Amino acid sequence: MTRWLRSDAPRRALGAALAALALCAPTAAYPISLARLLQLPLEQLLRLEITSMRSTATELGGERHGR
Amino acid sequence: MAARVRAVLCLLAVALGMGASAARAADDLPEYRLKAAFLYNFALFTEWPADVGGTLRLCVFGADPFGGELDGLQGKAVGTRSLAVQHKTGIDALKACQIVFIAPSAAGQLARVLEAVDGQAVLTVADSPGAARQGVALNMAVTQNKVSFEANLRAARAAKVNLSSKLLRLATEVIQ
Repeated sequence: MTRWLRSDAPRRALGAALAALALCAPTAAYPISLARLLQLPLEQLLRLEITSMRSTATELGGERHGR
Repeated sequence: MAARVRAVLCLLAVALGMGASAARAADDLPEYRLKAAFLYNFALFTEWPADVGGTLRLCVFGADPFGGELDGLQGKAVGTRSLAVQHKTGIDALKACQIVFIAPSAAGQLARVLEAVDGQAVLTVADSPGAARQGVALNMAVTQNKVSFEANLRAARAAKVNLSSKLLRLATEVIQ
């Protein structure tokens, strides 16, 4: 046990655990995939804020609606 | 020992940085992903005549602005029916659909589309300014980065589709 503690193994194990936690925790907490959106009630969809507007509609000649 | 502490702190910083970038990616909500979810809800809260079969054909007319988001609706259950997403280039082909989304690129052809599906049990949906007043049953808009929609009840009734009271209650405007 003492030999293990003096080696690099604890540092490597801690690093791996932190990286795994950082990669998994945020997405599990707040995913906004389409599959997730389809589970939300319509009332909640109305409250969500979009973060990126698709410019294709404008490029193709359509006006932005309501903006 | 000090070197080991520094190494652990560096690892911690890297891990936190990765976490922050993952959080930013998770927060991302593109406009047409949200609108795809609205389309699904429109289907959920609309009733079609009983003689419509087991498949609800959701047809996109015009250049598809969804960028693949509608793939997630393919085969999705709506009550006892399932959705089939299709892209149509010809106006006459829209008669075979139960939901027609008129893309912004095709907004100029709105009158022709409405004429083509006149008398059919077709729920028309758009996201173009003034489309509801022109006769589209449900029209989405973006205001302060949020999606809202207006309903044209007269158009829905003429198309023999029944919009639920919930849809009408949540619409920003209901055209009678």
